[in-house]
Amino acid sequence: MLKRHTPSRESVWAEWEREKRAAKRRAARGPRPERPRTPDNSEPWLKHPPQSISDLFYISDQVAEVVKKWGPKATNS
Amino acid sequence: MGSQSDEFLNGISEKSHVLLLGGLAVIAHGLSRTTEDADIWLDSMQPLEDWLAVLDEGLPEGGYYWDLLRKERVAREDLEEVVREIGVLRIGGLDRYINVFRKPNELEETDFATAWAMSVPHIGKFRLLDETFLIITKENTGRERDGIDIGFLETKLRSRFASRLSVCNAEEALSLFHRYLDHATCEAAMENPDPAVREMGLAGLRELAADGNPFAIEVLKKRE
Repeated sequence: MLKRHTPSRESVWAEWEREKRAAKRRAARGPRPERPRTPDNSEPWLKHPPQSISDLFYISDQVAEVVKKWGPKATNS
Repeated sequence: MGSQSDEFLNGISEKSHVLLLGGLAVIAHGLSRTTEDADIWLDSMQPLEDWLAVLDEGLPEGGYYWDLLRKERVAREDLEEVVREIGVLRIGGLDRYINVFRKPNELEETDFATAWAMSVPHIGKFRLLDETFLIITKENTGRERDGIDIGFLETKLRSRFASRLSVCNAEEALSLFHRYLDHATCEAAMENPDPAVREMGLAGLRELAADGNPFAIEVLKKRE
């Protein structure tokens, strides 16, 4: 019989603290005027759902390219 | 024409059940991340001799077996010993490395039947390990990346299970709570019209609160 999964105490407390901080920020800044939300503008890596190992590796390679191009660069300092 | 890895995996999937796990499985579940190799779980309910025969049949010209512990090629006559010892063999000589597991991290060979039954038909001829099993394979590894994967999979599970728990019957709720429990799924169950499901949600919250879960403690306090 497999054991049931429950999120770890560390992750639960991290989520709790994150939510409390966000609630404090919201309370401090007061109510904001209604504004339209920006729609999700993310593009899928593939035009179709992944159908092969090659498709999944393609996604991995694309992520690696993006990280290489835009990710933090090593410095000498 | 697929890649060598695709051809190898599709070939062995015709002979035996194959589940995708590891980084590629996490990508298939929707997380954008990188990985260097493919991890699969070849049906470990079959005897080791038959398990190896499936690989032998599928191994293309130029392919070879690799011992991930000793970092060296393995001769055919030593394969059984290596698999018994570390539960995995790497296939080299293809366009990508493929790690074939007989016993994935934190799972037993006999867990394959349940994992297969709960898997998702997804990629080509093989199936994708579901989130609950995938989380188990990533526990206690000490790798930062596995921690990130677990966080992503938990978020996905929470959303999927919570949407079911607010409407499903008691039998389904019981099976979901046997697999995963957090405060959000319990709260979703408390919205269910069936009192038996609501009772499960309440019992779950009490269990979490007894373990010090601050969300569960807060929800129970509000209910008093």
